[in-house]
Amino acid sequence: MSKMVKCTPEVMNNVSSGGNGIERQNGDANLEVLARSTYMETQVHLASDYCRAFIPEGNKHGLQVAEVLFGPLDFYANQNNSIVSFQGHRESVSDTIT
Amino acid sequence: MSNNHLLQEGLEAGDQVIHKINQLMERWEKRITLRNLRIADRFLNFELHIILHLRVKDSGEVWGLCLEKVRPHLKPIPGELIILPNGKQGTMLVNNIKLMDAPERIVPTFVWAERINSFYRFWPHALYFSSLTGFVSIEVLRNREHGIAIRSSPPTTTS
Repeated sequence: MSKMVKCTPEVMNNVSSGGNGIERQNGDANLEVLARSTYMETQVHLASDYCRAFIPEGNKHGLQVAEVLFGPLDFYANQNNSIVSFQGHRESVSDTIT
Repeated sequence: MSNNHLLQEGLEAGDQVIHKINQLMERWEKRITLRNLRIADRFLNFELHIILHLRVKDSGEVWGLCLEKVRPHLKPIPGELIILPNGKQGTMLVNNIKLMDAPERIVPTFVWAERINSFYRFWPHALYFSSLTGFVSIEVLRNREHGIAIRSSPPTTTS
């Protein structure tokens, strides 16, 4: 199961959509196990003109790549900000951005 | 303060303004466009990060996953999941990203994951490119995924 973003609009438009009909069942998987599995099993290939993400079929938790995004693309975004470190401190700043 | 000193300060301030303008123009000329993506290069230069939406097949639950190149000043714990004080999953160092242009290599990457309904809380006006919808802002993603989370919640019974 993989998704890929390529440079040309035609290719972008041809990336299949789907997965809008999400059904949720009662009960969650163990969050930590799921997160660790998510971290370890996801693979991303980057090139100059495409970004491809995939998870091997038959992975333990049945994870599927539903969508791939890259950015930020806006010119004024501060590229020196780390989004990961931002997440670590977001509880203290979330009031200022929401 | 002498006139010469004031003149010198004024010249230095002028130089700084010109330097800032030059930097701005350089950034504009190198900005990301469909004809100038350089995704891998921009990822390595901390200009881009990758966001994935992952669906758990059985439950239909959707997770957001963010991958960002490791920054020198941040010190991850290799192979360990960092649990944040609020109990949510934090960042982890992985080797999940492979550069496909020669020379091919693996890039150490920070990654964090979270349920999609609480994933998008950063940079509300930032613009991203999506494999499903094209250009999309964080604000739109936040509202969209929040809607999905609500729609995918177990139905409530009313008496």
